[in-house]
Amino acid sequence: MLRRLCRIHDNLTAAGFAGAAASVAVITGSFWYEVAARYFFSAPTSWAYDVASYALCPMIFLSMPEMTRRGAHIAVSYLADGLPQPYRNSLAYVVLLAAALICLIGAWISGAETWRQYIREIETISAFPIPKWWVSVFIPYGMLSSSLYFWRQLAGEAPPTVAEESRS
Amino acid sequence: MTWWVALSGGVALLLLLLTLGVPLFVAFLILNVSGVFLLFGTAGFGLFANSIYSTATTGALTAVPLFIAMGEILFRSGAMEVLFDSLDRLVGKIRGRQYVVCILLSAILGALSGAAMAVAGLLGRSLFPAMRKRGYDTQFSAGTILAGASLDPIIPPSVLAILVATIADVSIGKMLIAGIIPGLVLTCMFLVYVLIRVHLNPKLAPDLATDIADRKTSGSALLALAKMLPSLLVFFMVMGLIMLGIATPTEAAATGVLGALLLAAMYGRLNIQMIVDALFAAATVASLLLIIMCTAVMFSQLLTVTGAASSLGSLVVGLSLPAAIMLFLMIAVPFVLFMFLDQIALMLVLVPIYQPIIKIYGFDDLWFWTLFLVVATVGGLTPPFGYVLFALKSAAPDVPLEVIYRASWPFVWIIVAGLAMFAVFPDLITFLPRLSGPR
Repeated sequence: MLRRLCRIHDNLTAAGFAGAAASVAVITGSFWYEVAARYFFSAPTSWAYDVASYALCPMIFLSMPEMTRRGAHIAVSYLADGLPQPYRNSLAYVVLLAAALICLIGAWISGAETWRQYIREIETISAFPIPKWWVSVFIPYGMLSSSLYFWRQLAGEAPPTVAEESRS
Repeated sequence: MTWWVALSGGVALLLLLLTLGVPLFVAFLILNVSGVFLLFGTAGFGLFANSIYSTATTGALTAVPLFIAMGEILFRSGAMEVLFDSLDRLVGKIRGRQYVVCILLSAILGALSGAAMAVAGLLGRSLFPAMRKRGYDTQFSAGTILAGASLDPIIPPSVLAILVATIADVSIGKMLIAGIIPGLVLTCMFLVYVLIRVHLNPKLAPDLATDIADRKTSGSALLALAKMLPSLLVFFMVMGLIMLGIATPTEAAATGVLGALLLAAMYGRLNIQMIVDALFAAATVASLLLIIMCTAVMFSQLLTVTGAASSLGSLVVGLSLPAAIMLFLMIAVPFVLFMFLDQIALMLVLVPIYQPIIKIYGFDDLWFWTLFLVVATVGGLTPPFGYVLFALKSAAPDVPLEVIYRASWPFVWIIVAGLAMFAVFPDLITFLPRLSGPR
């Protein structure tokens, strides 16, 4: 059962990561459209810049769980690398626990704010306004899913190796 | 809470977490969530959530994934091989010509991508073995690759410059343009150093006859130059448009992606898989950088709320240090810290601390932050923990790390000399941005 849930989590993360790559394409496409509309047709859009800005949020927070799954987040690891194995393991455990807890708290904080935006029907302040939660909802998702990966790693699941990564 | 307790406590906690190997974004999350809780209680959490949201939707930061995507497409387009072959032909019959090719190629790659680690890895896998095979000195070859790669965050387009400009609230377009002359000056300084060293110690390079035996070094120079033009056109599509005031940095970045795609099509490498790979790579690298930004920006807001920023300013005024000494200190501190700490993390901490001091001393924003960018770049090159050193080591695992360490130092000191020159002659940095358009 637990394994099945983990597989669902991994598939959701993979789909989210594809969404992050698609967000890069949306950002690129929006600016292409804006440049063409402004310089070739003298008709600048009111939405391109805003759409690109909105797309940045899912790009970051849909990638975040995948980066956590891979253990790819930037860290300064020279002290940990120099420690004897038992101490290194203990330190890694503490770091993972701290990361899992703070991401959970981050998910709760950002989730509460997104919920508030949804309840109060708050819109973005821009030339192309949309409900704010459409964008901000990716933040608690990224935090929560990352927290789950940290918990999974605490439970002994190692991040995939480069060889496993390239096979997948 | 007094401001100095907040500031020193915050910085100490952050340094402790980073030293323990906590991922950067986690360290900033811990610091900022606890800071907000201590100052405002749970009522401040909305402020924190909105700080993450506003950073994650900052339009100017969309240039980051775009420039990374452009570099990724160019790396996959075959443009690098064409540039290398053309430069190999164009550099004259001089002893140590591969060192020259290496530095020039790095400078051009810097103008096309801007990720020092990627360039060090690329040259470490391609040019480095070729140089060693031709009989070039291993340590000196490693040094030129490290030096060349270190130019990339300075020569625009540079992701690091965009991040510094965004945090420091400086025009991104002007910040990018400001890096052009320092990048070119450092390139020239590296070239002069390399040629002098080879002249004094000819053993550093093989005989010219051996060196030019490779067929790639012969052929039409005009054709070689013509082959380079499409790549240089991509550079124009980015920096030319920004300098002429035609496009914003984000629009120019998107135009650069289009240019890179056209170049890939020209070299017959354009296909769906390549585009998909480039998009995934851009999402990977950009998200790793921007998640740190998102969780860290609150730190500068906390500095303002606690009064740390203004009080630090008052303290600095009280010290009455001459501007030159203050500038020296403000550059020396990150120079040392960058040897041990991550560039982005330190940048995110130091920029808000430095901002009031810069205003008090009346330093030109663009000039100071470009100097800071050069210092951050050196941080990637200085032993023991420079990232670029490790990128080269992973690309050439048979070369001992001590050799790579020794190789980097002469070029670190050259950059320091360049830094002193840019500090004494600010026009080297501010001249081009002044000429450019309002963006």
